[in-house]
Amino acid sequence: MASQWKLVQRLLGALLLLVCLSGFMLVAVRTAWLCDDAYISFRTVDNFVNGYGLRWNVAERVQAYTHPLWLFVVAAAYHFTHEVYATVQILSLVLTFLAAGIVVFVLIDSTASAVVAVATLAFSKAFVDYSTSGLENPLSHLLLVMFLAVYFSGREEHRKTLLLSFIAACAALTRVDTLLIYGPALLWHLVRVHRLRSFLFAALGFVPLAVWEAFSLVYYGYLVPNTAYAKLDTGIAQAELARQGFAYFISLAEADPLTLAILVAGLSLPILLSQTRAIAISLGALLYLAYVVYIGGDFMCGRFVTVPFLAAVVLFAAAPMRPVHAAAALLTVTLLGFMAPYPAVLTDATYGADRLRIPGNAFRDERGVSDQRGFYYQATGLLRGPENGWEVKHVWANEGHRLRKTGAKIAISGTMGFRGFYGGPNVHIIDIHALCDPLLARLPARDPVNWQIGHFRREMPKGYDQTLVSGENRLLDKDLAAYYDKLALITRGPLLDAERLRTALALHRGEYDDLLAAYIARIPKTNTPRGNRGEPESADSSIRSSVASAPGYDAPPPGSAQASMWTGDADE
Amino acid sequence: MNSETPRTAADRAILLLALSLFAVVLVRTAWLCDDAYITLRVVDNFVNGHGLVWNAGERVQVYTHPCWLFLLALPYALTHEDFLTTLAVSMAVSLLAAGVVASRVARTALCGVVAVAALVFSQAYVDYSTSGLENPLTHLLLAAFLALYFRDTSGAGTLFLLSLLASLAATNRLDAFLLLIPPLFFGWLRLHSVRGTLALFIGLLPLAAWEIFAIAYYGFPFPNTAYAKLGTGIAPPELLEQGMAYLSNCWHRDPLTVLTMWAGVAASILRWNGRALAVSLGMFLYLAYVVRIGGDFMAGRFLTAPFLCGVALCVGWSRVEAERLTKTCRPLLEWPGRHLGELAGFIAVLAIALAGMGSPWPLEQIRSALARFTGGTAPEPAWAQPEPTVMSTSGYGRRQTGFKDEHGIGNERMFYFQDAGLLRYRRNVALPVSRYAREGQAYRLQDRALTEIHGSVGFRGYFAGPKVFIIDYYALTDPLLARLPALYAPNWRIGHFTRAIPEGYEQTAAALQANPPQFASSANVLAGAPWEWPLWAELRRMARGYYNEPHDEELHAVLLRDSQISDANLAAYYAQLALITRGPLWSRERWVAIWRMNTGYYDSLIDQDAYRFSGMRRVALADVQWPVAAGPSWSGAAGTAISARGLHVALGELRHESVLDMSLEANDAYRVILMHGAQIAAERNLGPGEASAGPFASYHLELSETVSSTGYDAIRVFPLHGDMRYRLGNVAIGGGSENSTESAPAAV
Repeated sequence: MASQWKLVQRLLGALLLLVCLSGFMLVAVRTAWLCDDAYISFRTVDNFVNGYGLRWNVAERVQAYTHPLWLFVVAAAYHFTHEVYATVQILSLVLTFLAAGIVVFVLIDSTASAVVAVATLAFSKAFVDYSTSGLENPLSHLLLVMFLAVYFSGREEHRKTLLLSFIAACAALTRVDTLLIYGPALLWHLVRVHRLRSFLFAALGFVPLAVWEAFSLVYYGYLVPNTAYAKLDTGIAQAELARQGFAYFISLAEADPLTLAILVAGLSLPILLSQTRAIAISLGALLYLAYVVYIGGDFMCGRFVTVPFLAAVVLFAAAPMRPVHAAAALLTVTLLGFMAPYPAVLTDATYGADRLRIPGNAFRDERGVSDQRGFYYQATGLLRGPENGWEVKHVWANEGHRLRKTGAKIAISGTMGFRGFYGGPNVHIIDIHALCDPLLARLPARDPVNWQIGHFRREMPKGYDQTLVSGENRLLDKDLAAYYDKLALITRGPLLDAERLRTALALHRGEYDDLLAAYIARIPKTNTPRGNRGEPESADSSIRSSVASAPGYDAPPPGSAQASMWTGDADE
Repeated sequence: MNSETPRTAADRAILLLALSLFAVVLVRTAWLCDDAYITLRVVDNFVNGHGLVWNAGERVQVYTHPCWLFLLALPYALTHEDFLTTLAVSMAVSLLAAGVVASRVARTALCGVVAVAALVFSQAYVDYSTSGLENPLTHLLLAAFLALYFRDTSGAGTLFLLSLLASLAATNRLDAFLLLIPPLFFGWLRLHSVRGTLALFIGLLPLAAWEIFAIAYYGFPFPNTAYAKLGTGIAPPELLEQGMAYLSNCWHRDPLTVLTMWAGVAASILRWNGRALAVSLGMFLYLAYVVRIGGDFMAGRFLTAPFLCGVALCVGWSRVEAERLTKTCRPLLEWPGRHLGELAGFIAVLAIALAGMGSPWPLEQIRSALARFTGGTAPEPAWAQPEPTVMSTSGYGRRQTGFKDEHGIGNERMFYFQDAGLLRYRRNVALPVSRYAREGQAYRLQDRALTEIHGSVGFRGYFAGPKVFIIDYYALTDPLLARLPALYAPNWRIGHFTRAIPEGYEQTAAALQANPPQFASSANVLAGAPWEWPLWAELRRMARGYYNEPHDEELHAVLLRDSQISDANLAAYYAQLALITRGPLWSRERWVAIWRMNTGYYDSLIDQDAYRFSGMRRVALADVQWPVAAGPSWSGAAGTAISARGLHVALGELRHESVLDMSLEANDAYRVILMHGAQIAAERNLGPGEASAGPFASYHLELSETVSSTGYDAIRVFPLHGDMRYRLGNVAIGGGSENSTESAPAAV
């Protein structure tokens, strides 16, 4: 009788959890969206699936994405549907559902704790926002909870070592920064096992990462993606970046207090309870957060904290709660959730529409950190799908369509996700924020004082556009021209040419750095005085004139709607 | 409220979650006020070797919170950064205090959650958990004291710790001692042994040590701010009224804070033992003191400490107390009795949340029902709660309408948040961004000795740096002005008591700053690192009897040489004061001056009436006794203009008439006072009234018997409010004025 009652109780518990999980998924569905940056990867996916290779501009091999594994997952789905809007959102939702399911049914024993965990996920604006978005976060979440499930289970040692390192490798392939989270836990595991063979198994687990790096080195000529150069190698003072990183968390405190509070509570709980195994995870998450501060955070509010946040939720809910605890925790979580100015649970198809009507960018706070979902929801939201005809409804997307229709050869742009994707493979886009441009990514940011995080605008070298249009090196600066010859050999030369591989290695060893340094020393500085942040600057005349003189293309008249594209609209 | 079982992991988890909530709320509301920067200038000077001084070269204790100052000085010495350092210290200390309350004062995890909920939803507590003032440290010391105090241990060791914590709290802010005297006394009574008494006194040593230091270094036992804010010459009833307004402001704007204090008192009655009741008594003592001094201009600032006591009383039930109560309740509540703790907890949290969110309906309805019941008018809704504290974002205080109530009590966080709120942080903008800070920076850029007169001197003083000598006309930082009475102002604002700057004082200060008097030993005794302080050398010299021989006869001459104060008595007073604040620390003359200054020997040198009523326009009765011509209102020549500082009508002799007629410009309100020598014999507010003779309204005053029998020799008229153009028509003593049509029957 007693065992039957227990069974009923467990069934009821599972049912309750399913209801909660559905509630969370309802929130996730109602908030599903895609961002412009995701479309950068989708252009590569499109080119890949259509046989142009893993390239963004088909003319050159540049890794314009940080998340190879996510790219392949999306590519696999895209191969069948040839549609991204719904495909990627549904894919993200499925991954999110799996992750939340593992949290609730595998990682947490007590029903009350699991309810708290689900509520926490649903009330976290960051987690809900980046459960879709088209970026790699949902895959990172799934891999994290898989890792934690294996890590906290008592399986046999070698298989566990292999699994842990394999998942960590996959996570690194999804986003390499997350290795910081897994590092201490892996190390702790290896130290505990303390056998030579387990190191071999760990190494075996990391083979996928090694394979990818080898491929990346041969194919792209670089070990790290181009975006890393564009965002991390900007010539901006480290202290300035760290201050911006601190500001990222201030923005988080304002926009999403729950996420910050759970990070604090969840990551410090293992230390308070001295659970050594969990402390390793805390430590990893803290390392990762420190890294986020170090690199200046991001312009997408909450994007870089969702993975440590998920770890914090799991660590927090690991404490088996009685209903009274759960009730207290739920009250707190609800309050924290509603302290956000735009709670995720309350949003519907009109999300962001009110702020779109405000002149200027009402989504971005004064630290340059913005509510990206608000900015894009009307254009890409899942609930907006039927109305949008399952196409991005955005001025940048329209510009992309126009590029394709006019058969443009070249375009210059600051935000090139929608534009690039809808522009198609025939147009070569120069990204002035350098995410997708190999040469610009190696130049310092134009203004090392007044910049928005994630938007490090580069000064366009004279003759670069003519070079790209004509296909021959017309860069005016001799040093830069020499450097570009090497770079072009890597990005455009025959793949397995011995000369190309030698150049790639030489470039890695820094043999051509003095060419670049010589050019950089000659760039006129455009430092605006400190603390004098005004409106985003208008079009840089040098860019426009150089485009106008580029053969084979007519620049649109300045001031026209089309002209904004040429100015490298730095809005988002 | 249940038995004190060890905490489970889940207990710790929810406590941690609650504390994280508090931490996030702190981040979202963190701010600094101008007054905090007064302390920071001392910290800056101290760390840079100028001694514990505000204006370099003048030893004045401009801060009320020595402990807090030293706590700030430690990290400041490392960072040399004002904004984030102060906020980090405040937040860390506040968080620690909340942690102690939630995990050490509260007996169960659920009680801890209730406690944190109360803290989070109290606007006053959250606002002053940062602000840069000493409140966080007061909270921490108070929480530690109560955690120890509610434990059922009694012994000399415990009493020593309690007394030590109390003396630290007193050194952090002297007022807080009032809260702790009854519990400390209770603890001593319980023990009642020689060892206990000894422990009590040893624990009080830090306070004694500080007082000795303050007298030796600054020459006064109390901070300068106390003299500036308490010795203003304002009549006690007026201060009492202001103090009551302070409490009523809190009740209207932040009801949870008041409710929690009452709940604490109720809990102490339910607990029914001396231990808990003593805490309640302390709260009453403290609140009585706050009311007596007129409260403060910062809404809620002085109420956070008793509020914390209230929280502690509510959640710090011991097992015995809880069991007794449940036993009493058992017949009443059979089933709920078993879950009383949990139920009470949740009801408490919900009630706290409701009150804290400023949810208007229940409280507003209770209030208006009460008002209807008592026959009064319904109070206006919460006037300055544009958003509950937990909901405040970076836009807080962007609109400042109604930040200050009619009693001058302001929501200071709202006032400063846009300039000095943490949520306004940007990587390339140095906070605070206040206009005052920019003014200070402009002074610093001049990089030379300056003497300036200003009101709000926090940001200005800190950013101006040590080269600028600032005279604060609110006297918080000025030793001379703090000892002058405040200028008579019918509309005085609490905490902002303007002083008249004596003629020649600015020049004297400038001269002293330009060439400081050369004393035998004028080295700053606190310069450099603590182990290098010249103080130690000075003490050694004193021990050797170096200072026993009579000192330089020229000392007074040196101090008076540069004095350009035209009031000879005041110049003499200032010479003594400057000897204390600038003279060699151990000279015999200085110690004589300290003794005399503190015992009131020199008080007669200050002409109280002259400085309280400085800058009045003075006329004789003969100039104003003729009725004004009933001309059109624009005939500007008619009547006598009243300056912003008032009009003095000298009567020439002591008059005893009981009837007084006067006419004043009709559209303004005035205060009229009758003087008997330097004493105020009677005062009365007049107007605005109906114009009867041109622009003037006539008022007929009947004086009470006591006033007319003691007599009066001058009439003073002050503008209260109006069109900035104030005039007196005429004054007729003894009645008989033809203009007097309107009668003001009430006696003054």
